[in-house]
Amino acid sequence: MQLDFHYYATYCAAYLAGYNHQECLDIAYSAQFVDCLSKTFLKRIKATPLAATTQLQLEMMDLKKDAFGVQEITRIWSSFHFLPYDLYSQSRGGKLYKAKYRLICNTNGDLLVKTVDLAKNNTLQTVGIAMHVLADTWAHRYFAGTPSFVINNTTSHFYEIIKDENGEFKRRLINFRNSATKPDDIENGIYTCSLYQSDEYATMNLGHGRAGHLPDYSFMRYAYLPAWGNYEEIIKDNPSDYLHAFTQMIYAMKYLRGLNGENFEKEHYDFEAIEPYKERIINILEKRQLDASEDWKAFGEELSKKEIPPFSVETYVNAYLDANEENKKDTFLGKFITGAINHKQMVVSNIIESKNPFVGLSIRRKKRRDK
Amino acid sequence: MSISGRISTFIRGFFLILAAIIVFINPVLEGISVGKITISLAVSIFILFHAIKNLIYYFTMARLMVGGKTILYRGILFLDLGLFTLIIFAMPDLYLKIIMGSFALFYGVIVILRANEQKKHESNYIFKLVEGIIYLVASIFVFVSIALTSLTFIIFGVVFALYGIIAIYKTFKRSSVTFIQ
Repeated sequence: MQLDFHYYATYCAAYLAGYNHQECLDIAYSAQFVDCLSKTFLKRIKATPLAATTQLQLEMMDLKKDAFGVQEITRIWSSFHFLPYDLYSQSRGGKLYKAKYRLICNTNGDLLVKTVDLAKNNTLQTVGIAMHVLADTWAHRYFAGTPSFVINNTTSHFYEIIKDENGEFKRRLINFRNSATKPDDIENGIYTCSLYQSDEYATMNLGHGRAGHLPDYSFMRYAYLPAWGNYEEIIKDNPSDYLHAFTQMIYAMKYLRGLNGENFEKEHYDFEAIEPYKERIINILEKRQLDASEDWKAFGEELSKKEIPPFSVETYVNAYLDANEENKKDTFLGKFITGAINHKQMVVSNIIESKNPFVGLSIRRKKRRDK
Repeated sequence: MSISGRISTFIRGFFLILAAIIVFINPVLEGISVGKITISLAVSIFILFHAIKNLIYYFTMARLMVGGKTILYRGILFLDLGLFTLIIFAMPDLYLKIIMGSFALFYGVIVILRANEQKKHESNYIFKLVEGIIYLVASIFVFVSIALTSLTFIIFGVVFALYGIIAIYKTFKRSSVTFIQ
């Protein structure tokens, strides 16, 4: 997902869950900031690189394509953007293929429950991180947060499903190109995707790169053959998925506020909360536009009757830099960094427990070897 | 880099430097140029390595992927090419020059395109660009020289030595390893 949903839509969901305006801003800012906290940024503010929640293209290109480089990429992307659905799922193939298959992202997995539970009685920044991860499980489902040609590749069988004036759905073949600068052309169905590279560990094969930005557009409906799918077509209905993401965020945040029972349950959505606004929300989601920020912003400001400031990565930087060492962890960025590290540790340790080698070597294994 | 990676990189570097020395000296045994044999052997091993890598990749993983058969076809193609390259030392010099020159030209273009891609992403591209240019210059020299002159051997010797030294350097370069608590 992109800024329109992570920042503005999360603000709206937080408000409908009962948070006040400032709390909504903190949550929404944190949700969007997950897409900004790179190693380069952390180096600039002299914070630990362990907290990185994303990677810049050049950071990935500078990494070696060996096991350690792949592990570093997987630790970040699996933790924050492609939360694995089932770390013990069975599949065809050998050990290595199974390990990659188990990293495929999907909604309502066990790790999602642990992600939301981690935010319980925790800072708003941790809530924001959890909402980013939750939302991305809907947008990025069927792709894995590890560079893998055999899992993340797509073929020329890729169709957009468009509703015409009569309400009927028709298919149009999508034309992909590899331009980093030209914007996607909705009218003519020309979209940018990552370069075809059949090297298993090429960074072009990370996540949904081979499908371009299509998973991040709320209006997009498309049909394609996922590389792992044994020639079975998948139809991705983003308007429906995004609506589920939105209502699940409301349910999750009500749970975090102490409502909605003792446990966070999978497959629970708060459609009741959006009933007065359902048509408006569906219109925003289905509107064919590359960026829905204005519409979500207008909706959010109508809800709270307060202005939502535009997102800026610099907002809390000075406060962090000016604080002394002891107080840094209590600043906005300090709390976010703590939340990010805790979340990453939770996800990575779960992946390691499942004996998956793609996020790193366990220190217990090192200690056994050193003995 | 892992320990096994360091061992294999060191072995590769050692044999490349050995190949460079043989190519520079270019002894003649029973009328056959040992330098010519070394060049065809080195290129053949390079292509065969990629062929085997592709075939292993296909049988372990890509056979489960939609459209995975392209990896199999590529592996078979490289296998044929690699085996063919093994016998070119016995061919007239002209064929060796065309094949070696084409190989260097093709590889040089690929490396320059990769450097260009890295440049677009503001990554460090200079080394790759220089590598690509060296290959292109090598291919030009190979094509323009009338016979398989000693200059051609020197060019290949330099390329082998360069890669050998880089491999040895990478073997001993320190890299950080992250252990998860």
